[in-house]
Amino acid sequence: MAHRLDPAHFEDRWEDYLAGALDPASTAELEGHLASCAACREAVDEARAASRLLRAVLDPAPAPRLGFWTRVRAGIEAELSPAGADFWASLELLARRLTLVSAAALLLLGVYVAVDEFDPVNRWGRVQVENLGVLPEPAPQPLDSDDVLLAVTGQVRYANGNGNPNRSR
Amino acid sequence: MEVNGSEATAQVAPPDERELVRRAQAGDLAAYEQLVKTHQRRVFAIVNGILRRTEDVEDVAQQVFIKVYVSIKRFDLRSAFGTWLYKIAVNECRDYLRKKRARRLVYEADLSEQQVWQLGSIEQENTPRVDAEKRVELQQFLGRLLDEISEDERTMLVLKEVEGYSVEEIGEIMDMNVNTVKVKLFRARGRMMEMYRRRLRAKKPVPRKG
Repeated sequence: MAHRLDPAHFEDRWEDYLAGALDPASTAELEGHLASCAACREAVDEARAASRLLRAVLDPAPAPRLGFWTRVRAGIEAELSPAGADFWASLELLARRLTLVSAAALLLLGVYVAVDEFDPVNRWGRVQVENLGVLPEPAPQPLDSDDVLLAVTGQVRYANGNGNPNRSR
Repeated sequence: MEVNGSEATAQVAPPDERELVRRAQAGDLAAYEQLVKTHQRRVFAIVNGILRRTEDVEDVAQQVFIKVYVSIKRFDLRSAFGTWLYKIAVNECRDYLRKKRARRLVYEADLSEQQVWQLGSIEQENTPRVDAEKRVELQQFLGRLLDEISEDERTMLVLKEVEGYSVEEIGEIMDMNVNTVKVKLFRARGRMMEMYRRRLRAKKPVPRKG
């Protein structure tokens, strides 16, 4: 309700009124206002209803169980113990090492990809050369079993029937 | 929690408490034990006010006191130890709720017609506390209403109405000016009842006074 922001509607005093903490003159002043202002009357009634509901239904906080301090102290000691500190330190070291290893692996992978891309005899390079049609002709093959024997003894006979691979038959 | 510098309650730790804090900062666990025993009830009340899950209150409160000790050397004694401690408690509750919300299964029983009438009679007259066995569904219902108002409003309402703290104590706990607490509390009640009426309207009209 917007009018509640108006100081004439005593918004900062209802809490004391509800708690019965006002002096008689202030109480009379507020009750006079309630008699003439339906919105404030409703707001005060609702505030009382809210208190009754909360008090009757909700549970207060449980009291600390026996040994609460002992458990707190154990938690503190675990938190500050060298074992706890060692655990975090080793975890940090492991994380650093993992970072270094990952960086090195990435670097190696990068170098490999770069070399592989520009090497003309590698698989990808060969595909490029084939596409350009500049692949050298295959070496001459022996014609039959005699040729194989001649090839083994170093006396190669080529498809043109003589020892010269450049002369046609 | 709203922390407004101009509204913050100016406090200085009482001398004996300052001494205990100094000793705890030097590693004296016996001194810290005294600080824990002085403030544990309020920490439990704050945690209960924010979480509203009594089964988790002690675990979270325990975690608060562990964290406070671990970082006590950073506390500069310029404000009250309690104010610093309660802020850590509020933050711990927020972290806890964030984690919990991510995996919370929402199952909340709906109210029976009889329970709706029961709520109607409670809000209109001072009723003694409802029996524990009948209270569970009503608590869930009010819990949902409180979820719809802000965390500050919810904490204030629970501290005032359930835990029985005065507005001055709430101001100290929440680091707020007393007049701000009074205005916010009054508005929080109105907001909660607005939600309450809206939810009940969808069920059954509750007889109103007058």
